[in-house]
Amino acid sequence: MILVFPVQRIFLMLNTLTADIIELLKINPDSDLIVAVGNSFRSDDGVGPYIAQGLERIKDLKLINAGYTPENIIEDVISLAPKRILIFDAADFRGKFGAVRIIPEDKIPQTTLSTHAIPLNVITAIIRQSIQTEIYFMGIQPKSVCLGEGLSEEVKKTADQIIEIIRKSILK
Amino acid sequence: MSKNVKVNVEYLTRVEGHGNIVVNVKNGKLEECRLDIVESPRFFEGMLRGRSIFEAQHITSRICGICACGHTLASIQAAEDAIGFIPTEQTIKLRKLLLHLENLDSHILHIYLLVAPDLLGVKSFVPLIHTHNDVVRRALRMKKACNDVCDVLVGRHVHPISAIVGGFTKLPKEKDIDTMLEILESIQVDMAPTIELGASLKFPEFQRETEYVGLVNDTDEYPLLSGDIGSTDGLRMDKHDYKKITNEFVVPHSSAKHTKASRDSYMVGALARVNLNFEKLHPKAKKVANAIGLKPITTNPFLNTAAQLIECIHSLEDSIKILKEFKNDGVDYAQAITVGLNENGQIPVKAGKGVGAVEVPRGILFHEYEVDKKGMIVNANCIIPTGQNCNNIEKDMQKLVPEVLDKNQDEITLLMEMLVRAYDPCISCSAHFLNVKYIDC
Repeated sequence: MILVFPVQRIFLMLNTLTADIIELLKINPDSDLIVAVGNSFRSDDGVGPYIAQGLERIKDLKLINAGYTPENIIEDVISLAPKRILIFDAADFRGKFGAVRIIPEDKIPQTTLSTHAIPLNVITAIIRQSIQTEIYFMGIQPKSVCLGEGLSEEVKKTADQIIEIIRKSILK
Repeated sequence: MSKNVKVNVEYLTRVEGHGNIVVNVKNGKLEECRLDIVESPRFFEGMLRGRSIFEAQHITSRICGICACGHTLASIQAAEDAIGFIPTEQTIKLRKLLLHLENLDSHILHIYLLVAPDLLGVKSFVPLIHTHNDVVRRALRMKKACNDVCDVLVGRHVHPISAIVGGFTKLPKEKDIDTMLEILESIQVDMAPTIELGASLKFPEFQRETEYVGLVNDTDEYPLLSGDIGSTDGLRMDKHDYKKITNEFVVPHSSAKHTKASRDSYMVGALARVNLNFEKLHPKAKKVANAIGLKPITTNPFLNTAAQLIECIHSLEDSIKILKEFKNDGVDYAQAITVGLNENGQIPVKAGKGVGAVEVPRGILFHEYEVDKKGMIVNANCIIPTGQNCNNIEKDMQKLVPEVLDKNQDEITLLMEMLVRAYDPCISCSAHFLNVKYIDC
């Protein structure tokens, strides 16, 4: 899960998927790559892998389910050389449960860097050194990241919407 | 010397978990010098009570995301020891392979991501992304390779699934062995520049004699998974007597208990292992050790990183050897077992006590379980390498500070940080401190 720092409190939010995000979800399979990140054993932190599962049967879609080891995808991403990368992960920005926001890269703290955890923006910095690509961190506000399988109703609803929008954008 | 130095590093970066360095020198006199461990205890031993030994390895694996395989193996060993189960040679061999993969993975990350930045004069691993991108990618490529082999062998990148009490639920097929060999041989390509990098790093000069503790044996094998507990001060005892080595005690500033054996502190980890078992290293590892001038007994703790490099070569070469043996001799698939929680009594269980002693990346790890006749854990004790090293780190700090008072405060702070990082501490894992008394209601 992305820990957004400093925490941005967003109280007024009518839509979980804003127009700019829906626009971003229109995928060009030739040039876009979808990366899903998260741990399915931590409730809503599994939203990334859930989205990946929902998309895995779409032919021609470039998709990597990075799970809980996103640092392991670097070489694969570089060899695919996509023009645009959408990274889906749970992100605590204190929004409405299931809300989606584009997380600015500089709001992801690098203080957690250790052998045990490599922040996502460090991973993308490594990728950017080798290929020119636009990267979007699509953060989904979790309701719970406690130990447990399955998504909350709110997060599952958003994830299903995301899957549907991407599917339609490719299959149209 | 009349000099005042005040170092207060809160929290130390590039280690796992939260620890603070406190140094206070007044008029040239060292008044305070501590490594504060400020993590909360994690109560894993409490969680194990009342749980079956057949699920313990899955629980204790979660103590650490980087030593998950080590905890799994120590847990399995303690459980099997408690019920008197003796694993087959094939099982032991596969467990050795698993342990090698984890040690290699962890050491690579420590050398490249956490130590190299200090020695290359940058504040963290992040600037290296721009100045040494090929080096960073190499490190993460090697890490991925270890994870991928682990995935093939035990079903996941971390937190193994198929390694259980009694053996393995799934054994590698011929094509799995080929895949693992291919991946490990790709690491061999990256190992050459890794050795070059390691040999080029200049470690701070510092010596402090201490006691080095680790597994020892009477065979030719570099002991990682079995053996007695030995020390460079001549201690040698059966693993069941581990408490006579650890002698844990509580200090006010640490939620990790301190330990001591023959002296006032001891060190565990790669340097301890190399000091104790140098001659048993793979010839290629020994060759590199000789080339970089690392020989027993090395008393500079900063060279723990160099010892890790030596162990990387050993683990890689021994892993390839194990896999080639399986390729030549075949795998006995009849040994695959499905035990679950042993509902069907597939593995005979009896009451007893058992100890697991395994050399994980940061040093010797102990698990001890007391088990009832149904295989349920009555009591558990886990002593983590970083916990054993905390006292030794402090003693190093207390010797180092007076020796470097001619440096400015920033230089002293950096040296203290580098010293702690050299031990590759996993602070969250080390925090086990409370003796909780359970009162029956």
